[in-house]
Amino acid sequence: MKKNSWSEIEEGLRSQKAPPPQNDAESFQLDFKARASLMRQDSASPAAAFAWFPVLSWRIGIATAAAVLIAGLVLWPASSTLVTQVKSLQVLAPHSGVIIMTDEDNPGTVVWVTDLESDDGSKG
Amino acid sequence: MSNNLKTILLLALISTANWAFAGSMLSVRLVEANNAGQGMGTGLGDVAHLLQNNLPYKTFQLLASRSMSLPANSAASLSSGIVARCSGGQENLNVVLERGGRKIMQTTVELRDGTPLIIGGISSGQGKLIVVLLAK
Repeated sequence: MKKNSWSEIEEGLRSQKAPPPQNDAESFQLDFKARASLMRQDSASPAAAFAWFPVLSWRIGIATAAAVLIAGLVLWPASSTLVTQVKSLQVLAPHSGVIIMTDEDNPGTVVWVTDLESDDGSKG
Repeated sequence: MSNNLKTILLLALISTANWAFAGSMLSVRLVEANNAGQGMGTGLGDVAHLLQNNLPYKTFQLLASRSMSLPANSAASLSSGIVARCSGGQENLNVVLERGGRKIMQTTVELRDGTPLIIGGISSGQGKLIVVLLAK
């Protein structure tokens, strides 16, 4: 194995000398360009950054309208819960029975007392 | 579902429920029903289908009509000795029916706007007397 002299070693090191270090700004620019070349760079639009705001508002508006519509459809007269409700009933005159009917086609409630004795003593 | 959407939905439900009790007037009508003829008397157009489709009578005649403000706290003297004493708001309306000064019926109802309450079965000759309550 050949032994290099010290002068040869110095010469070799000089030939392989690393390029002089760049300052921070140059290094940053080079690194930035290298990274930028690796990915797609669409042209920036000033409005693009805030474009999601109207989209979001539009979607919230539609969702709100849908929620109100659904609430209306579920709760408005089609539902029997919105027909007049009888909470309590007490018949004080003689009678044989009580029927409570709810009509959803013609919204309303019917309370019918059968065989309700009239004041002249007859039954209906 | 976001909290905002839940809030909006809740408000919609509450406001919908409140709309059902926004009436300012209570109408009280006395109707006589029988099978002596056939037809619907004047002043009953808004409850005609409800009466005809649910009661076994062909003729309906309006005997008396009164109105009072809501919340109610008054008595409506109708006809044939019938008096309807009403008190409270639509969500808790108390109705007492009297005939000849004697209580015959008492009820508490949740009366919704535009949906009539029909209370019937009081004997009257060949037919029946019916009280129709409606909040507007």
